[in-house]
Amino acid sequence: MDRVAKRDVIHQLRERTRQVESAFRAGESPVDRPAEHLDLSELLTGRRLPRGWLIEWQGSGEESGAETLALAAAAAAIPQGGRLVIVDPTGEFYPPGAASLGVPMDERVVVLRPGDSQATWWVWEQVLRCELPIVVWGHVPPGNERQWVRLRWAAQRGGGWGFLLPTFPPAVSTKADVRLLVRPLPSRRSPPCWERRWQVEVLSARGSIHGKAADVVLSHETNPLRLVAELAHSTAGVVSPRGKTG
Amino acid sequence: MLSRLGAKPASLELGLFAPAERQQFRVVAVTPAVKRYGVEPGMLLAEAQSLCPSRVRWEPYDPAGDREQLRRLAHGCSEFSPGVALDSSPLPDSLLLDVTDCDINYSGELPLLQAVQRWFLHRGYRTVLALTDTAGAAWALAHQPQTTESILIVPPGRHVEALRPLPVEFLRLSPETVALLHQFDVRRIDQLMALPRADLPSRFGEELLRRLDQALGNIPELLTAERVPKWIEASWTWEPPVDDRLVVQTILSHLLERIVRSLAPRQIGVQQLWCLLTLESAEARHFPVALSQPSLSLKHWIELTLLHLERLNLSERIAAITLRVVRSAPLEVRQTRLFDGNQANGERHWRTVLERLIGRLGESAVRRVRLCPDPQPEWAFADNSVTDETADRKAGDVFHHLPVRPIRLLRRPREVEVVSVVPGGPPIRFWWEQRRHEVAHSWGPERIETGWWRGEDVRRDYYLVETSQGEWFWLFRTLGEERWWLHGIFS
Repeated sequence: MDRVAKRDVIHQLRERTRQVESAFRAGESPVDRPAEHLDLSELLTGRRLPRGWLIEWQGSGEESGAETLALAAAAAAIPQGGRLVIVDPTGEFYPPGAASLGVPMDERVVVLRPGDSQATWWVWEQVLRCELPIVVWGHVPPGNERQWVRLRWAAQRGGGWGFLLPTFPPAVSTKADVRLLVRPLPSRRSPPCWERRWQVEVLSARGSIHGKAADVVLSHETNPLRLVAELAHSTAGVVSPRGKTG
Repeated sequence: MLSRLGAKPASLELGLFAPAERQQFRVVAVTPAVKRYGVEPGMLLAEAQSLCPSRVRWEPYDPAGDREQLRRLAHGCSEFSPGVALDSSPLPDSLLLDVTDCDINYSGELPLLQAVQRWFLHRGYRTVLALTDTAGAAWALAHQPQTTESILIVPPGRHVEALRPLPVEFLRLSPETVALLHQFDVRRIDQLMALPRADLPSRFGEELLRRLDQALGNIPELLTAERVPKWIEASWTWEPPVDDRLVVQTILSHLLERIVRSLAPRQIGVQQLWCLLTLESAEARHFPVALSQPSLSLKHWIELTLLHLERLNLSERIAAITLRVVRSAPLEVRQTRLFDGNQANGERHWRTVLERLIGRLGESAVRRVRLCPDPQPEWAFADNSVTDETADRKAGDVFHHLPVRPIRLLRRPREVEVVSVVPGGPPIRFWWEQRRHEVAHSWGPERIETGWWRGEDVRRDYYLVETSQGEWFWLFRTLGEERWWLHGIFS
């Protein structure tokens, strides 16, 4: 068999194998799905997110709870066989608090403590480029447009998800696929019920969820993240209960 | 014993223990300083502890560490003999050296043994050396407790005579065989030798006759000599020393290429190597570079080594550089796949990413975390290096009920001004970051009194508070002082 004929055979075999593998992969979650089909409840509860997305969680203040909400969503978004990477440049990340949100305290979670902003950017890029499905949660220091483009490219190449917590209101566009603004709301239930409420507004997004807003409730007792009212639509759903893990 | 006690000063008060029957622990070895208190190996640990002052340190016995240390000593002894073996017992404590014709360089057997003794003494070990015609006889004579000599030389052909008065225990027999011999009141080797040989195997098993014949020299004893590891390394020396990082990086890449090329034909991958930099003042700086799996990827090794090198703060010029392979293993044979993106490839890539992260940030910045059953918030978790293979075993604590905790814990609690309606009551207002926060709801107090054994008595009443704006904080009041602190933010 000459070289050209051999190459053709290999090409045909590749195509057939790709078809077989595609059939197997069809049932897997997450999938490469169009952004237009994403639902706000899916986004906020970390379910079936399109691969390679960066989601920016902007809080109305340091104590807004945006980090908590993002972490609860990130924990729910860890795919089977995937990892959750916590980027913690300040060293203040508190694992017991994360565990009470459903973050598994096992080999699936890795905490990175980069020493400065340059190292933090490098860490984000390296982890997002990984071929294993990885959810990355953490602070992102102020950066320039080039850094954001590189980060986005890394996420698209690796196929993981970035749950970004911008340290300051960014001077340049973050290039995130979705930018969310999180405002805390007073809880409606009195003690002893531990329930936290937020209003989440989609500042910008690819797809149909742009401009939408919703009220979200996190119950610390049963640990589900619930979308109680979608302000632009009437649909509401109870989603993503995760058992507490030790 | 060798690894923990061998090279330690005689004044060290340290003992080793191991699990024994009925969930008890027995003393395995002690230093001479501990022996002074009347402690002997074999004693129950609880009994030994009652005899000793509390400053005596007790550590678990590590047989694997011992064997490894003995193996290292065997490698060192290769300068005296081409064949150095560990004794064949399950827990070896001796080295067997075949010194046939090795005394030529030392003008006699005694100078040879004196040189061996000095070698060990220099490393902090006191030894008893016995030189006889057979390994079994040498072992027996070196272990007999009555000996006061540190060097015993038995003239050729006289070893049988030397063995006769020794107890049968020194034939390297199993405890069961020794107990059986004692039942028949056979306690010394000469008594054993007087018994009819033909009857011994049927009554006491094959082991007895084999060990006896080995000691007497009737049958040969095969010694498995320890093989001295041959370091795979590559070096470069600069004259004069250099400070140009680019030059160093280039040479480093060249050295790595040499190492990879030397291992490639054997399909052996490098798993860990040491990089040793000799500075202009002869000061040495070194760092390890390790992978989770052996690899011969030159690109990956260069990248990792340079990441480590970047973290070094070198104030002097570099005079020499040496790369030494300290751990290698056969390369993993894996089936070639047509497409990337599957789980196995992802896992491999993830390991590569972790290695890169450790290279740039250091092991202390790439961690796995686990919860600990400690009520004090600062001690409620621990972290391990991702390369720590025992970490998974440590993550055994499962917590079925997790209290609500903030995801950010301040490194040190910050004192805040708080208003309560009643003394000792919950907060109704507090100031933080120059803002006044009105408390809408509060949960608490959760009293935590602990930590006295750490030298810091913690007595706190924690409150989880929600402000009128819907923000959550974690405050505590120190009992007795009535001061308020902010410890965590549900950020």
